[in-house]
Amino acid sequence: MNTHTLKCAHVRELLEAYFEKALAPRESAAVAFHLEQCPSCARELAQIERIVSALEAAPHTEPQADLTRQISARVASLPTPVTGRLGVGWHRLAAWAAGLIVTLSLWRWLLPVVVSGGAARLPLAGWEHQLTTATRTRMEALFHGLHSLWVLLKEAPEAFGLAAIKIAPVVGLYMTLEVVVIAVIIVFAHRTRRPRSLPVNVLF
Amino acid sequence: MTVAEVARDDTELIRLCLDGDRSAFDSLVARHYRGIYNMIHRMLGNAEDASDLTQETFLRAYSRMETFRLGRSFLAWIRRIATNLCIDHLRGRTEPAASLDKRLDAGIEQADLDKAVSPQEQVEIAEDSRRVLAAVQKLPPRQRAVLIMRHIDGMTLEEIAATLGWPLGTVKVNLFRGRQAVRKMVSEL
Repeated sequence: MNTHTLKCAHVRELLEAYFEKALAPRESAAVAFHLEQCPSCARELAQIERIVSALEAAPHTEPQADLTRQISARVASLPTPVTGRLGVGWHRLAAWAAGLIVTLSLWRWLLPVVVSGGAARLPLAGWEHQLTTATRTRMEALFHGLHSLWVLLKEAPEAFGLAAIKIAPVVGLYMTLEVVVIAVIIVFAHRTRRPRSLPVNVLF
Repeated sequence: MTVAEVARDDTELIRLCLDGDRSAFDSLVARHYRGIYNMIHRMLGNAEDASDLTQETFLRAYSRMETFRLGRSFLAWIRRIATNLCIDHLRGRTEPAASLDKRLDAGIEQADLDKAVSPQEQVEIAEDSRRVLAAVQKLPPRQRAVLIMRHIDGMTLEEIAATLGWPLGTVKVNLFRGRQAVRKMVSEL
């Protein structure tokens, strides 16, 4: 950038960023050079500085004396917060759990390969059937669990207490997520047309 | 006490609070209510609304304590709650704060008593602050929030972005436009 060619209009567009030191060094140097030559733009910068000084000089105001007492009184009427550990990052927990479920669903299938240190070939013959059977069994259990949870919350919510009622949607959501993951696995197993046997090193 | 020490103490108090100790939350309130009240007061320009929203900010923080991520800054979290409440409040309000000028004059006179400047300078500073703060009250809520955080609360642009959960560019745009608008309003007076 040629420091001698900056026009006033351009400099004034850059003045706010210049004041915040948010310009690139060359651009900043060009603006600084222009400001040395141009009293009009220098006055604009002085006005920014004046505004900032006025804001910085703004007085603190003291809140009413009993504000903390009022807050404490209103907080006392609220239920104590649920211990946050379950609430924090539950979506991350659900994602990990879904991964674990997929792994557990496949463990019988992968076990021979793991035990042999990868030397064995994957038992691909009939793998769709094995996978589908394992995941269907799990899905039935999940549907049963979701139904039981719904019935219990509907019929006797007081038996669970406040904490359990807050956690129930998370559990329900997790179980629903697991159902979706398993459904995807089943669809994948049905649709995939792969060779009946592949070397392990092709898959890993 | 350093900022890190304050943050560590806040985290300990939040742990106690999550374990059911309400007095720990009272300690958090005692530590931060003045700063939050001042921030809200400058946003709204009205002591009564500032008092109500300060209460609402802490109530909301308490009822959502389980969503607070331990180890993060409680002050930044609660400022974010307060700012969002202010923005919502301002969007629902059509008329400007009626009592602003009177309160600002009173506050500025009080604040200037301690300064070692001439009476003439005191009058000029007070008049400047009054005009500028009155102009700030006319800004859109987001520009107003950023301007107050930057120049009254003394936060960096990065701190504001982290507190509000906005991209740094959005903070800059709101700050620059807000300051330009204030300059224009003050020069037209």
